[in-house]
Amino acid sequence: MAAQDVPNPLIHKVELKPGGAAATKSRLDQIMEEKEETAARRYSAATLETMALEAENEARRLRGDPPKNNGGNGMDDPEQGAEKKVKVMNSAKALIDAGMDPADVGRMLLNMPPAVNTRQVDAQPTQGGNYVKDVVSIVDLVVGKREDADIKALLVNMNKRLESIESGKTKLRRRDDDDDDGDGRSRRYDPISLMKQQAEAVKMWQETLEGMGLSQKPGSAAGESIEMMKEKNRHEEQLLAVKSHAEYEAKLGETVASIPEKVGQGIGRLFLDGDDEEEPAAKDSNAPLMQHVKCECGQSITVPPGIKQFTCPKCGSKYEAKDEPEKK
Amino acid sequence: MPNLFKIQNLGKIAVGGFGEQAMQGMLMAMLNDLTEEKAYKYITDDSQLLKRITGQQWQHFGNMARKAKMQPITMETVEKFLSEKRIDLLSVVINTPNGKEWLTRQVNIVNQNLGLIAE
Repeated sequence: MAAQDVPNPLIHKVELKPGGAAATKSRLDQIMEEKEETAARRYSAATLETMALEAENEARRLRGDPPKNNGGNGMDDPEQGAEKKVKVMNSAKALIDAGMDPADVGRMLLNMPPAVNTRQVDAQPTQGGNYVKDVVSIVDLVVGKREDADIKALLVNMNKRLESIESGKTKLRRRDDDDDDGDGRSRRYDPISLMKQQAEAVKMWQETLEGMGLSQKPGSAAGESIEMMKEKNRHEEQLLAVKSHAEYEAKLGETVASIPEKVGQGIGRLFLDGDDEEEPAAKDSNAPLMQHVKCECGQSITVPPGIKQFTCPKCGSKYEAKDEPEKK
Repeated sequence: MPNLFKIQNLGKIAVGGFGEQAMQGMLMAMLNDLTEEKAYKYITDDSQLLKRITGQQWQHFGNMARKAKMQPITMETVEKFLSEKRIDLLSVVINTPNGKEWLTRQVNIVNQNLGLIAE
């Protein structure tokens, strides 16, 4: 069959029956039916052979003869069991080599449904083909080489898996604690809902741990990374150093500028040393005392004795004193 | 007698470019040590404030001031100093008759002894 003749498995064919409900059958179902028919035909030959051996053994048993070892209850023979095991392992290896997930192969060998994998369910066609095509090619490869009795089991599991992929649902076997009815039967779960539930559970744990202080988000409390914090601290240190240096230079400049004036003040005080004996005011104990008047601006005005009019040295307000100093 | 070593240092400072500040500082120091009563008596007696500086010392300061190319001390500078540091003394000066004239004379005496203005 040429590649262009292969119908798109994603396109569903709809058969409209007059007076009845519309029957839908996808191209995938048709492909699987064809594969199953092919496998069943191959399987039927082996089954007929096995059934013939079982009938012959039953006849031998009724006659009291020993049974033949080539069929029927041959699984009881340890050597045949070892051969069976080798064949199963070869089949599993072939599936893995063909690209199938080893975990799924293992579950398949244990007669378990495949694990939930939304990526596979929602897988889109890729450059090398889509997931369904890969599965079909694997089935062709394996079925073409296998003539054992476990082919049927493999096909059944594969069919179940394809059905789950097609329906978007996966069987999850949950028993005991999860079984509300107590009947131990398996149930169907929506994988998307299951993933949402798991995501909510993970979020719940994360929030709980963060609330307990056992988990922190990467970076600082302000959402900054460690590198950003280091860079910020380095800039702050540089700014602080520049600011300190500028303040030091300013203070040094003020000090240097004040040196000459302070030296001059010191020398001026030297000239005043011992000047008291020549000052008449210092000797005159009856020297008139200065009067102090509070100006409206808050400045204290020193008024020499006998002065009737005086001025505030700060604001320039003029006052005139009569008996007591009053504002003019 | 003032310490000659400090006077020489003042001269070096004056030559170094800080002479104006040094001389003003010397004048301000002498004003700053005045009490209100002393200032009143200086004004009323018309006494010279820097009378203890000898002629030789004035000559020494004058040489330094010329080398430092000092500018004459102004009344504005002195009044600003008094208003900031000794406003009570400024009050005595402006409220005592002839107080501002006395202070102006003291400033002129300093400038003349330093050779900053013509006598």
